[in-house]
Formats: sequence, structure tokens, C-alpha cells
Amino acid sequence: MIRLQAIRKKVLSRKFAVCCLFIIPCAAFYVIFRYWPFLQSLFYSFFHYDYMNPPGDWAGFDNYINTFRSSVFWTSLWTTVKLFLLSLAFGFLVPILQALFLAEIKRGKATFRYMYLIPAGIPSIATLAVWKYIWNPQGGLANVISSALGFGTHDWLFEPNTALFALRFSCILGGGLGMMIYFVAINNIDSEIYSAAKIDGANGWQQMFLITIPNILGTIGIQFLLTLTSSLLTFDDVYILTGGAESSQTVVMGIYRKAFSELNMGQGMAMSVVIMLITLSVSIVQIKLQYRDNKG
Amino acid sequence: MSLRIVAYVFTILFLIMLLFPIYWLFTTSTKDVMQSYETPPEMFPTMPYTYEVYLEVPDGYTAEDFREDSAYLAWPVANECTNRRFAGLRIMAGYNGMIQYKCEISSSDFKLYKSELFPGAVSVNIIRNTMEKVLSVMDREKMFSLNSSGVYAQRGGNEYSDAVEADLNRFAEEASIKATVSSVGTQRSFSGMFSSYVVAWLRFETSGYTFFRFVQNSLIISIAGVLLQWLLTGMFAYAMARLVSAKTSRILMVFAILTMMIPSIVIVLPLYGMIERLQLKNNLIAVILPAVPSAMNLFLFKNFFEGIPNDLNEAARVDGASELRIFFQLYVPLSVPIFSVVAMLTFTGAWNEFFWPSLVLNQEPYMTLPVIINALMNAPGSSGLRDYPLSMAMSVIAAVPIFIVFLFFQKYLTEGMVFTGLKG
Repeated sequence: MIRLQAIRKKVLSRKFAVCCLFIIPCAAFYVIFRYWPFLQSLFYSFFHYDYMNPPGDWAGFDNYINTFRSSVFWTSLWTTVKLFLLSLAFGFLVPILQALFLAEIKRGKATFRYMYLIPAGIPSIATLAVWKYIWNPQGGLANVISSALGFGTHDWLFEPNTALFALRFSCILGGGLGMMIYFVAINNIDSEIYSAAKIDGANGWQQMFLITIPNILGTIGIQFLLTLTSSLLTFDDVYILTGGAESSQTVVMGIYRKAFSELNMGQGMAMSVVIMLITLSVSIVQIKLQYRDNKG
Repeated sequence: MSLRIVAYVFTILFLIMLLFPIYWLFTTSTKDVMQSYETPPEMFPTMPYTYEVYLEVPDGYTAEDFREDSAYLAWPVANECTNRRFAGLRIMAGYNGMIQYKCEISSSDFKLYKSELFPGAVSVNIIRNTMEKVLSVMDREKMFSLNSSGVYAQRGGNEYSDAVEADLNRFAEEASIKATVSSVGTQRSFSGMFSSYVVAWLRFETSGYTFFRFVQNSLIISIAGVLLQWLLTGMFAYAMARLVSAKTSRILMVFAILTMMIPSIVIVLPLYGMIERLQLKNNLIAVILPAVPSAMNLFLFKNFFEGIPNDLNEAARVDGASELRIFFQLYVPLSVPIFSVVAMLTFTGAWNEFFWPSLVLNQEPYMTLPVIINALMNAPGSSGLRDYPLSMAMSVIAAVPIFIVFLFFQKYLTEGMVFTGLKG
């Protein structure tokens, strides 16, 4: 009884009202546009979804079983993983190196840093439009360069052998915010460590390998996992560049197809729950790592 | 090797590579379709040619005669010129080199109005049969100036001008125009490089709006997004940092961060159903509202607010200020850097968003820039080839507002990353 009274008192207090005023308008959006549709997705993934009469018939685990049985799902998952591996191969080291070398520059550092950021100020649709043109078999630069090098001409974005390569090649340019994150991490390293190393006679290369790189390993690990989660959910760039051609169908694109072309909402949602479980497990690792990094 | 030298070489090389696509975006936007399909491509922008035609007129030649003669000469020639770095056609007429009448049609005019006037091939007969309509369009677009003055200066030709002259003579004869073609020359035109921009801007005119309509849609979504973040997420974060207990604050943070774990594809399908039921499809609100939950922004705000000394709150409360007043009059002015960082991240994010807007804004006048650019990029142009210069011109237009925002806020970006320990 006493506890109940205490709660009632708290609820009626002015302070509580003020808290609600600050919190509820925003929190409502989280509930309406995130938690509610999420629960719906989870719920409908157990139904043979019927547009006319939602949610339709109970399906049990049928949608999940069909997902795991469908070869398309596994092919698209494998395609997604390959895209991730390619973006690692082309682009993972580049921003790290760019940041490491930018940190070594004394004269014109601000200008260079600024120029590195310019691509982040270009809308992604513009960048994708340029790349689509570059890979275009007629008039595109890619074929000019590749035939000059003796590799012949290709329909880069649509040939099964070259599609994934072409989709991820642009990672090699680095720059933008990715580079900036490492640059900031390097600048956050205590400068006293460097002074001490200089007194001990360490040269620039030694300082880079023995001080800078070990100190940004945490950031590198987090970036790695972020690349992984964002790669697993790749959609926009692949869709804009290839329109979802067979050879480059990612998981998210498969879900999009299932739901909007084949109108099989139930299975689309089951597939999306599966991909969420995968990204979730990656994120948990990331949070653990980040937590350890912040502590250490 | 000295680290310093390696650093400079590496940085400069990578910057050249990094900025090349942006250069290529701009260069391509100044080309015409045929030029964009040339192999090897031209690496630098070049000025296309305006063809100048001088007509010697007989006695009793009237302005009306000139209008008809121009119509006969201009439209068939335009068809011939599309392959030839064509900036436009200028027909001048007068006695003995004195200019009396002028008709100017730029290549963007040809692209925009040829399909309106001549959905199929252009021929002298078709022009004759539709003369009234042709002239009304030419008048509407102010192609004629019938009180010109000046002296016609004969200009040199280029490798195509003989062919153009032959064409002109053929059409002049076929249509038996009243004046005689006396000379054809070419002149490089600077403004001709931007014809794709003109076409991009005006090609939706028949639907009653310009390209600005799409810029406006994107601007409304992005600006509304920023304002909602400032207000709603800002207040939420203030409550977490200053109003509730540490335990409640942690619970709220988990509540917010869990939404980051839900990939957008999971919620897209039910959300789409919700928007359809509320009949918000093709309404900008359908894009603005679902973007409000942003755990990243909440985190940024909360961390910053926690860095502001709590004593200020105590002092203000003693003075009898309400929490709303403390937030708006004390915290907002003290937190300009974090408001800038959030503005920039939100604006850029909203400006670039593609998937969700392409689902819920699928009718032309409601589309955002990425959606319309993608839709047009995949549609073949009038020549059956994809009009990349047009897509590039639209992309450059789309880049301008965001680049301004970026210039404006970029100094806060690094600051923001430093003081919040933002890692991605």
C-alpha cells in the first residue's frame, strides 16, 4: 500500500509531468515507427500473409523453413558475403593508410584534410551516377582503361564474373568520413607518448608502427564490424547501379523482390528476421568490443 | 625512405583519384549524348558550336516571311546536328550583311520542344502542315527577335559546316523559302556547355513544374528532419541528461539503441502497410516522420549535454526558471556545436536517403532528388541511348545544396567527432 502511494505521488508530481513532456513526444516516434512495425514483422512472419485479409493463415515456421530451403536465399547471402569481402579487400586498409599519412603531413594539412572530406559532401546518387557511367560498356572509362591494359571490354556491372568487382571497386578511393574517423582517433593519441619515443630516438616509421597503429586498433576493430553490418544490409548502391540484376542480388534485394514483386510478404518478413538475427549477433560483438575499448 | 615524402606522395595521389569522379561528373554534364558515348572519351570540357546562318532577303520580305523561313530551315537541321557538338542555330536575315531579323534556337530548345512539335521525324511537309503550332511554340519560347540591328560578320566553319550548309540549301529549295542562304559559319558557345542543365531544369515543364520541384521536395524533407531532430531528440536527450535518474537514463538509452539494431528492411514492410492505410503515400510526411527516431543523434546530444556543468541548472532553477526555459534559453545557445553536427548528419542522411522514399514517393511530382535521378537514369533518352549528361547535370544540381550545408558545418564535424568520441 505504501509503495503504491509512493508511486502515485511520483506520477502526480510536477517533476514527472515535466519529464513526460520532454520524453514522450520523441519516444512515441520510436514506438510507432520502430518497435510497432518490428513486432508486426515478427508476428506476420508466422503467417501466409494475405493482402486482402491480413494477416492471413497461420503458417507456423513454414516461412522460415522455406527461407532456409530456398537456394535463392543462400545464393544471395553468399553474394552479400562476397560483396563484404571485396569491400574489405579494396577499401578496408585505404582510409587507415590515408589517415596515417595525413597525420604525418605538416604543411597544408588542413587543406588536404578538407579535400579528403569533399566526397562526403557529394550526394551518393551523384557518385553512383558517375560510377554507373564509368562502368557503362559504351563510352565508359572502365572499358577504355581495361582494353588499353589488354583485358578487353566487358559489360562490367552485369557480367557474373565482373559485377561484384565493379560494385565494390570504388571502395579503393577511401576518403570521406571513414578516413576522418581514423584521423580523429590518431589525433586523440596522447602526444606525450610521441615525445617520449622521440627522446628514445624512434624515427617516423617506428613511431607509426609502434605507437600510432597499436593505439587505433580499437577503432579499426569497430570499423571492421560496422563495415560488416552495413555490408550485410547493402541495398541502395546495388539497386541503383544494377537494378537488382541476377548476378548481384543481395539478401535485402531478395527480400524486396519477395515482398514487392512476388507479393509474398510473410516470407519476406521471415527473411528479414533472419538477416536481423545475423546482424544482431555481429552488433553484440561490436558493442562488447566498443565497451572494452572505452574502458581501456 | 623519408616518411614525410611518402606521406606527401601518397596523399596527393589519393586525392587525385578521390576527386576524379567528381571532376568526371562535372565534365560529363557539359557533353552531349553522342559525345558521352565516344571512345576514347574527351577528358576536358569543350565548348560546342553554334551554327550561324545568314539569309539574304529579297525586296518586300516581311517579318512573317522570316518566321516561316526560319521554321523550315531550323527544325530539319536540328535533327542533323545532334551528332555534331551542337550548341544551337542562329538564323539571321537582312540586306547586304545588315541584320534585320534574328532567330535563335539553342540545343536545349531543340531537345525540349522537338519532341513536343515533331514526335516522329521532321520533314518540310510536316512543318508546312503544322506551321501554326510550330510558330506558336517558337514565339512562346521567344526564339525570334524581329527588330535586330548590326552587321553580319562572316565566321569560319568547322569540319561539319559544309554538310550543314548542304542540308540548309536542300531544305531551302524543298520548302522554296523566300530568302537565299548566303553563308554558314560556326562560333564556339560557352553557354552551350550547359544545355543539359537547361534541359534538366525545364523538361518537366509540360507537367507544370520545373526541376526545382524535386529540389524543393528534398529540401523540405531534409530541413523538416533537422528541425524535428533539434526539437524532439534534443528535448529527449536533455531529459536523459538532466531530468531523470541515472538508472532511468540508462534504460531509455537501451530503449533507443535497440532500435539501431533493427535493420530498416525488417520494418519497411509493415511500415509501408501503415503508410498505405493512412493514405500518406506520395506525401512528404511519409518520409519525414519515420526518420525521427535516431539513436545516434540522441547519443550525441546526451553526451554533449552531460558535459555542461549541472551547477547552471541549479542556479537557473533557484531563479525560478522552468525546465523548458532552461533547455531553450540556456542549453540551446551553449550547444551550438552539437546542434550543428546533428544538423549536418541529419541533413546529409535525409538528402541521400533512397530506399524508403523510392517506395512511398513513387509519383513524379512527389519524388525526391535521388529517386527522380535514378528513375531518369534508367530510362533511355530520345536517341535510344541513356542520357548520361542529363543525369550528371541533375546530379550536379542535387549536389549544390548539400555542398553548401557541408561547407557551412564542416568545421563542426571534426569537433563533433572529437568531443563525442563518435566512432562511426
